[in-house]
Order: sequence, then C-alpha cells, then structure tokens
Amino acid sequence: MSDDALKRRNGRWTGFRRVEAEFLRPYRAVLALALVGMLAQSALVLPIPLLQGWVIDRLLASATLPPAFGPSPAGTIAQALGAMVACYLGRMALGWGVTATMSRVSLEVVRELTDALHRKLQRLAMNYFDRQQTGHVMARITGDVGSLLLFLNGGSLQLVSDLVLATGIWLVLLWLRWELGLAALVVVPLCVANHRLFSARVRTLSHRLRGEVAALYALLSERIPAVRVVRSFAKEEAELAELDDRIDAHRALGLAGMKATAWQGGLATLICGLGTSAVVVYGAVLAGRGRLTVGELLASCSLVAQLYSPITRLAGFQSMMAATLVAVDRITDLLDEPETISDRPKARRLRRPKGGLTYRGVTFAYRPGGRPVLDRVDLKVEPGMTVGLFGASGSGKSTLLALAPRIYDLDSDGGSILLDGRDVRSLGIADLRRAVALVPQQAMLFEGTFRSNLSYAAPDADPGRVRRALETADLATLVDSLPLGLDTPVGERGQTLSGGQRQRLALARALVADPAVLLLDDCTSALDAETEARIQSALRRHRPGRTSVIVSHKVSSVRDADLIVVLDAGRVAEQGTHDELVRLGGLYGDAYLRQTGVLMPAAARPGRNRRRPAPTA
Amino acid sequence: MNTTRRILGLIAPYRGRVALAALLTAAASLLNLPAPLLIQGVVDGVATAGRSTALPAFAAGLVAVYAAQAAVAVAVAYAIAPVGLGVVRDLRHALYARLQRLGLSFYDRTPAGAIISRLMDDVAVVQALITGQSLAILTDLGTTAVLAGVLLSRDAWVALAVLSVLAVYATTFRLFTREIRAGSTEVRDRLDRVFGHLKERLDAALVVRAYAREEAEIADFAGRIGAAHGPRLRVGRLGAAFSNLGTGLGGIGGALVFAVGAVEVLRGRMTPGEVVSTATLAGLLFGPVARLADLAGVFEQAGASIDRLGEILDMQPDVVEPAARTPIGRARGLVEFDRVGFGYEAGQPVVWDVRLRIEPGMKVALVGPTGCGKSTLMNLLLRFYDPTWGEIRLDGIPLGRLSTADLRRQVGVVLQDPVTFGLSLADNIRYGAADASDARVEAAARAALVHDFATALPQGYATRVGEGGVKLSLGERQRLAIARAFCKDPALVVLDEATSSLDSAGEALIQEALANLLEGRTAFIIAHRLATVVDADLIVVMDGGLVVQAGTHDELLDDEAGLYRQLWARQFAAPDPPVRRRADGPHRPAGVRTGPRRHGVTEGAPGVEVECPTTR
Repeated sequence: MSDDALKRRNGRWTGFRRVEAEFLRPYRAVLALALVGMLAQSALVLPIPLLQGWVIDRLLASATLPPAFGPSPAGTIAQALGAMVACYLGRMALGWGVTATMSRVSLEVVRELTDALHRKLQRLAMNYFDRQQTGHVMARITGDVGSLLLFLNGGSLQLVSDLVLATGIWLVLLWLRWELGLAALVVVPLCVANHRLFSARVRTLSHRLRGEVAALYALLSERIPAVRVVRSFAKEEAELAELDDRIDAHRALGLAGMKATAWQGGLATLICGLGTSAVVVYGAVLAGRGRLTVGELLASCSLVAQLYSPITRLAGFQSMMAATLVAVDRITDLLDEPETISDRPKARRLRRPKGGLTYRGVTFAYRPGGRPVLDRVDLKVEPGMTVGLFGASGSGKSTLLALAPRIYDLDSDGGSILLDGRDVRSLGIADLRRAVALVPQQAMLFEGTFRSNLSYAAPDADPGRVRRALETADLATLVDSLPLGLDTPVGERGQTLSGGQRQRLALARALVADPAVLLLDDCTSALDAETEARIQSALRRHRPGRTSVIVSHKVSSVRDADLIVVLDAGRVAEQGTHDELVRLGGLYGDAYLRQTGVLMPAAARPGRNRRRPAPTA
Repeated sequence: MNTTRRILGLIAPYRGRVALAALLTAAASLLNLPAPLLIQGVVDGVATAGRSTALPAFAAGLVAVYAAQAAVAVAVAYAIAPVGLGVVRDLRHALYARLQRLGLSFYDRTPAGAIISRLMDDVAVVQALITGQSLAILTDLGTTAVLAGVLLSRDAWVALAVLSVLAVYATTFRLFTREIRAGSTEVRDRLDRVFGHLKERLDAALVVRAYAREEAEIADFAGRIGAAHGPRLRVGRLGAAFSNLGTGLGGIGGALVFAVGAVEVLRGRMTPGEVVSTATLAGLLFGPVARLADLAGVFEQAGASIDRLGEILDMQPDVVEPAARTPIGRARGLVEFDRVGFGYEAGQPVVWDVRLRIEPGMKVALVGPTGCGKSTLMNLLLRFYDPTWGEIRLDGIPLGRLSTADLRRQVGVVLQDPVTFGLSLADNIRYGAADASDARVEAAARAALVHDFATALPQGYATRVGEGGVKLSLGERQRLAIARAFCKDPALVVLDEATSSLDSAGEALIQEALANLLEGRTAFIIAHRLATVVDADLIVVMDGGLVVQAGTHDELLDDEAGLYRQLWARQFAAPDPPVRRRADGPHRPAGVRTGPRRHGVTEGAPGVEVECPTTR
C-alpha cells in the first residue's frame, strides 16, 4: 500500500496508466479505429483551402486568358463544389461514427469503472467505513468518475487527433513551400513555455477544487439525513451559513482556476498570432519574388490558421487534463485500498454448523497500537446455548459479537475465535456469515417492502420460513393487519415504521436466514419488556437448537439465559446464571437491584427520593 | 419557455457583467475581421503589386490584431467566469435555504441521496451551460446576423443558398432537441435512484457484511447502473448525430456559397475578391450556427436539471412562518393541546382529539404500546408538522403565531437515534447554542456525564467525533445528545425514548443527569420502560392515537381495568403490581385534571396492541 502510494507520487501518470490498462485495454481496437476515423475526418479539412485556392487561380486565369484556353471555369467550379461537398459529407459521416463510438466506449468504460469501484467498496472491511465519510466515498463514484467520463468522451481522442492534425497541416505547409513550414515552427518553444508556466498552478487548483467538492458532498450527506436534529435545535440559518462558507470557497477556487486558464489561453492566442503573422509576411515576401502563387499564399494562410487552432485548444485541455489526473488518482486510491478481510486461500467450506462458539484469549483494538477494547477474553458457548452478554457501554460487548462473523478480524497475536472447533479465519466468509448472523444495534432497513427486507439475507427462503420469522419477531399480527401485507413499503431506511417495528423487522430479517448462531446486539432496545419477553420465548420455541448470544444492558433481556457473562472494560468480570450472579452481588447483582428496584418497598431504595426530579411549579 | 425564464432569472443579478462580457465577445468576433483583411492587403499590396515597403506596417497591424484578440479573450474570461460560478453558488444557496424550510414530509418521501444529487450534480450541469463559450456562440450569432445581412444583400443566389441551408438546419434542430431533453431527464432520474440506493447501502455497510450479501449487492448495483446505461447511450448517440449534422451542414453551406459566388464571378456579377470575402463571411456565419448544436445539447441537459431543481425551489413549506410573529422571550413552559388531531395522510389520522394542559415545570410521561401517536404528538409540539385540526399553545400563544426558530429554541430534544456530527465534541455539544462558552459546554457535559469520556479522548473536547472521527458507542452518543440539549438551556424538554439505549451502569447516573436537565423545565418523556416514568407528575396513556388515561402513577394503578395497570403488570410479570403511596402525597400543580379519564375508548379493549406504520 505505502509502496503504491510512493509510486503514485513519483509518476503522475501511474494511476492513469493503470486505469488505461484495466479498463480501456479491451477497447483498444475500437479506440484505434476511432482515432483513424478522427484523423481522416481532420484530414478532410485540408483539401478545402487548396480547392478554393485552385478555383481562385482558375478564375483569375480566366479573367486574363481567353475562355477557350484550358478547361472551362464552370467545370472547375462544379468539380470543386463536388469535391468540397464530398469532403464535408465524408467529415460528417466520419465525425458521426467517431463521436458515437467514443460516447459508447466512454460510457461503457465508466460503467465498468463504477462497477469496479462498487465491487471494491463491497469487499472492503468494515473498518474502512468507520474512518470514511459516506459523502467522500460517494464523491469518488459520482464526481471523479464523471470527470473521467468528460475526459474520455470530450477530450482524450480530440487531444491526440489535434496533435496529429497539427503535424499533418505542418507537412502540407512544408510541401507547399518548405520555408513556410519552418516559419510556422518558430513559435513552438513559446507554446511549450506557456504550458510549463501554468501547468503546476492549474493542477494544484483543480486538485483543491475536487477536494472542496468532496467536502461539500460530505457536509450534505451528514446534514440532510439529520434534518430532525437541525430543526429541533433551530439551526437552519447556521446550516445555511456553513453551506455558504463551503460554496464560497468553492467559487473562489473555481474563479482562480478559470483566471489561470484564461491567461494561458490568451497567451496561446497571442503566440499563435505571432506565428500566423510570420508565415503570412514571409509568404508575401516569397510571393513577391514569384516563388508562390496568390492562390497558394491564400491556401497557406488558411492552413496556418488551422495549424494553430489545435494548439490553442491544447491550452484549454490542460485544466481538463489536470482535473482528470486528480480524479484518476483518487479512483486508483480507492481501487488500491487493501481488502483486509477476505477468504484465505483454501478456505474451508462449512456444512451443517452445530453452533459452538469459543473465544480463546481474544484481545482486540480498533487501531493498531490503540486502546484494547477486549483484553484476553475466554468464553465457551456450547451449541444450543443462550448466552447473555451484560455490561456497561464501552465494555466491549458489541465488539465481541462483531468479531465472530469476522466483521473485524483479530490480529495474529490476538487470540482466536472458533466455530465448532475451527478458527473462523479459516472458513469461507460467506459460509461463516450465513451460519453466524449478527443483528446490529441500529436496525438499518432498506427502502423497499417488508418482503424485500425479509428476504435480504436469504433471497431463496420459502414463504413458510418467512412466516415463522415474522411470528417469532412478533410482527405477524402487524403484517396481517396491513392491506398490502408483506408488500407494504417501509420507506427509506424503514422510516415509515416506528423504532420498535424497525428493530423487530431487522430481527426477522436475520431469522429468515435461519443461522446456527444468532448474535443479538442490543437489537430490541426500543421494545417494551413484554414484547421483548414474547420474542425471546418465541426464539427458543421455534428453533430450540440454535445458539444465541444476547447483548443487553437490561437485566430483563438476559435473565433467562443459560449463561450470563458480565463484561467490564474488555474483560470477563462475572459468569453464571441469573440466580448465581444475583447471589454473588457483584456488578450484575447491583444492576438487577437498580433496574427492578421499583418493585421493592420504598424504604429499601435509598436515595430514590433524592434522585427524583423536583417539580417546581 | 419556462426553462429559459428560469435561466434568465438566475443570471439576472449578473446583468451588468453579462452585458460587458457580451460586448467584449462582440469585440472579439469583430477582431476576427481585420486579420483576413490585412492578409488580403498583404496579398494584394505586397505579393501581387510588389510594394514590399508596406510589409512592416501590415506585419505590425497583424501582430496588434492578435494581441488585441488575446487581451479581449482574457477580459471576456474575467467578465464571465464569476457569472457561471456565481449562479452555481446562488443555486446551491437557494436550494439549501429552501430545504431548510421544507416540511419533514418532504424528507420522508425523498431519499437523502436524491436531494444531494440535485444540489451537486444537477447544479453542475447548469454550470456547464453558463460559460464563456455559450455566450460566445450567442454573441457570434448576433454579430454574424449583421454579416449575414450584408451577405444576403450582395446577391440573390448567394442569399438563396444561405437561406436553404439555414432552413434544413432549423428542421434538424427542432427534431433533435426534444429527444435529447427527454433522454437527459430520464438518465438523470435513473442515476438519481442508483446513487440514492448506493448511499443507503454504504450507510448500512455493516448489514451487508453481516449477512454476506456483498456479491448480491454487486450484482444488484450492476443491474441498476445497467438500467441507466441504455438511455445514457441513446442520449450519447443523439448528441453525436446532432452535433455532426450541424457541423456538416455548416461546411456544406460554406462550400455552396463559395460555388455560387464563383458562378456569379463567371457571370460577371461578382469579383474574385468578393467571392473570397463572401466565403469567409459565410464561414463566420455557419460556424456559430453549427456550434449552436453543441449549445443546444448542453441547454437541453441543463433544462432537464433546471426542471428538477425547480421542483424543489417551487415547493412550498407545509409549516409556514407567521406573517407577524409574536415575540417570546424564555417561555414559562405552559403547554396546551386543544382538541388536536393529525394524520400524515388525509383521511388517516394517527392522533385524535388530544386535550392536555401542562403547567410550567410539570414532568409529563407519554406511555402506550409501540407506534401509536406519542412521537407524533411531539412532532406536532415542535411544529415539524401542523395539526390537521385543533391547536397547540405555548404560554397561551398558538404555535402558529410563533416563528419556528423562536419555538424550537424553547425546546431541548433528545431523540431515540442520537445524531453525531463530524465536528469536535465541544462543537457537537454547542450545536444548539453556537455562542456557548467552553465553561458552559463543560457544565453541560458534566451534567450529562459526557465529561468523563470526553477527557479520556485523545484531544479531549477538541476531538473530532462522528463520521470520520473517533467512534463513540451508542450510549456515549446518547449522552452527547443529552448534553447538547442541556447546553441550549431550554424551557421545555422532550425525551423521545432517550434512555432506551443507556446501559444499566450509566442509567443510575443518567437519571441524575436527566433530573438536572429536567429541573425547572416542563418535560415530555416518551418511554417504554415504565420504571423510568413512575415519578412523573402526569402520566398520559395513549392507545391508537387517543389519550385513554391520564393521571399519576398511583392513580392510574388504582384503575383495575385501565391500560396502564395492564402494561405495568405485563412489563414486570407481576400479577398484582404494588401501588406506590408517597409519604408526602401527590405533588401536583394546581389546574391539572387528575384521575383516570378516558376519551372515547374504542371497542377494541385497551391493551390490545393497535399498530400502524407511522411516518416518523
């Protein structure tokens, strides 16, 4: 990774070449053909000035010579018109083909690139998303790919063809009169200097501009979904002011970029003007000496104008080129991101998992060298057992769960986690996660219907299994009462549902997959205790042999578990059944007293009144 | 056309600059004329007539013309660049301002990804339209119209040639633009959906991984991109055909004019010099006309985007600010719900006929089965929505007469899903009170038990948290949200399931923190765990959008058939919940109706869980 980064910094084109190799190569033949077409199209401009010069010479000749002498001028005109129209028709047909081809190829490439970026994102481990803002990631897929599209479609081939065309025109000039060709070259060093003068600045500006756009994306994707908070804190004006700061910065950078481009373009015009003047004046001198006809002089004037127009355009391409290189670098950055969690070679298949889960000396930190969230945790969960994980926030409960289906991976010296006696890192990830289902804290439903959400984890599940999952999650009554039943839409992130309904649907989604191990990460927090109890007993009834690990800070959620494990600051502090732990009178016992304290006589609850908020009316 | 009017409206503030740029552009295109004339002079005077003494003058003239061209080009860029960028800025500002005012119902039905795509991508498309190039094409058209007049007056046949080419061109123009616009709209709509979907899935990356659905997501995304691909290709093909037809027609037109001119020379009606200048003029005319095709393509794409932006800009907020707002300082905290009813959709009320009078400083608990009206009632109190009927009053003033900012400044809200912004911890706490001092931030943090974990963070309160920063646990984020409400020093507090994710160790402490927050404030507490609401001054029991009971804990438990007693019994699995009698008697401000009361309990017995998906 760091090697790659180094390489990228060394050669600006590395990223570009890489994208070329991976995404453009299949289209090489088509691109070559398009290039030939474009060159032919450009070359077809060249005869026009020559034809016109020829007609003028004929007309001038017929004015001075008797009409019978030589071919008739009318014939000449007809021939010239035919040839010119043929040239334009040819140009039109070629241009049509080339533009259409380029548009198709660039869209295909963009599609494949978008797919590749998305594939990469799906294969990246969770820790990538922990440190990246969704907005930034989105900006790569939309903005950066978009600017590459612009370049491929509008710039790339044109650039090559302009260069070749300029050479072609120069050769024609040389052929007309070699001295004129040399005169036209005088300004080339000036063009190069002009390019050098601005390239660094244009590149820096466009890099910063893209960063600004990404920041804007990030701001919007954080604030727009948080609209409820913005409103309830009456922060609309402040939000607008913050956006204004961003868009003002964006405008200032854009302006600086445009000004640089304008100066570069202006200088290019001036330099090319100098070149044109040189050719015209020198041509006039040559014509005065009789070494050039008037028609040839006119033709060479048209040609030299056409010689310089691609060179002027090159200046404009520079800012596009800079933007593209920046975008491509950011794209390859993402493509180069290491996939930290992937199947090992010879990953083993997992058939009919029993559901035994063993943690052996598990130590884990989210950052290398960071504060360990788990510290030498040993835990043995027999198949079919229900284990309650109990502890304060930050005690490592969620992390302990997330490690089992390899949402995060243990370091090599961080102990091991075994499923049915086999290290989870030796198993195929897809198999492992089908066997070990994690239901996260936040429901995270998807836009769609009850059905589409339910079938997410197991698209091929039969209706019976879906029904059982609904019943277990205590959602069957609700779904039956809806006119559209399972096909009722749930809105973006399931927001037409209440918090409790979302959590139950998320649970049902996991149940449809019928995992051997169910990891419930405090996923029933929005439910009232009775619903929660109903769901827990249904879980046991419907699938007796399943291993469950339930994370909660509520005693009522874990009290019926076969084993309750109390975590404290990343270590196992207490273990046992509900009764044992209550008798022990440790962390769990205290929590039990606190949470059910209301059922005890008032006298047995010291401090209760002190904590009561005092009404002040 | 509506689109044109909108674009004109957008550039209206920059009228002066646009006019200046247009003038400069006109000057630039007039500067194209001297060069051919000077070259003509060189050819006639020096090459043909051999007057080489005039050569330096011609050369100097040529160089001067090109220098002038360069200077004018730079000037045009300086004049026009702020316009395009300014329009982009104005558009984003206007959109965001509108978004801040639109009701939550808009956000309920529009995916966040789609909103972002409008602000970013659609606006960028508009920017592509307002550039120097577009202006140049339009100005060139204007200046060349004059040239065309000259051209047409020269010779009837030349005029005919010009007009016939223009006629063919106009026809293709009309034919293509409509198609391109329809296609562009379709493409943008589809991409919108693709990226809205993508954002949802990226946000839920954990779920995708937990269920090993990465490959399915990849295939699904490819399918969605593929669905947008067809229309995209079609627009590309149309654009290719259109622009090349334009260029081709322009070229053929030029050739035609040259040929017609040459024939006229043969007939003695034109001189060779006139043919050359006529052909040059024709080239100047057809050039911009051909480039008009490119401009039209950009215009059509921008038109599609502008229409989509117009949808947002024209949308009226469903919560309107009062014409004359009633000023309010810090409210005392008297809240009245007067026969309030509300439905997210017409004909489907989720709250019926709620009547409540909450005295300042009262703690009101809202309880009842999952999903029926408690949160909605709070949305109405905050004016996220307006009641369909009835009225809510704060300190006797109807909410509709207060500005929403004034109203919301009075209320500290702690929501069920705590939101953390990608800012420093201190700025997160300060979110509702931008001018809060560090001391006040720390006081709020201490009260909400944020201080201890805050000082343990690498840079303390300056640590960036949230997306892209230090990851906080759900419990920590919840406490952060409480601190944020605290920092604002509100008169009213709304706790919407605020404690559902607090762990037991934190809970004992958080009760104290919440007690601090609630001290001296009117409070609404939505809670599932009844243990947390026992001490409330008034417990409002809701079911199916109705208030079915209201009273203190003891009073409500006395009602054997009441829903509250049933909820309580089920939650603690105790058949006979004990009645708490307070030694000091019920502490209740005067003016509150006490005792269990009912508002038309429907035939479904209380306690039957009536559920309906509600828009939250």
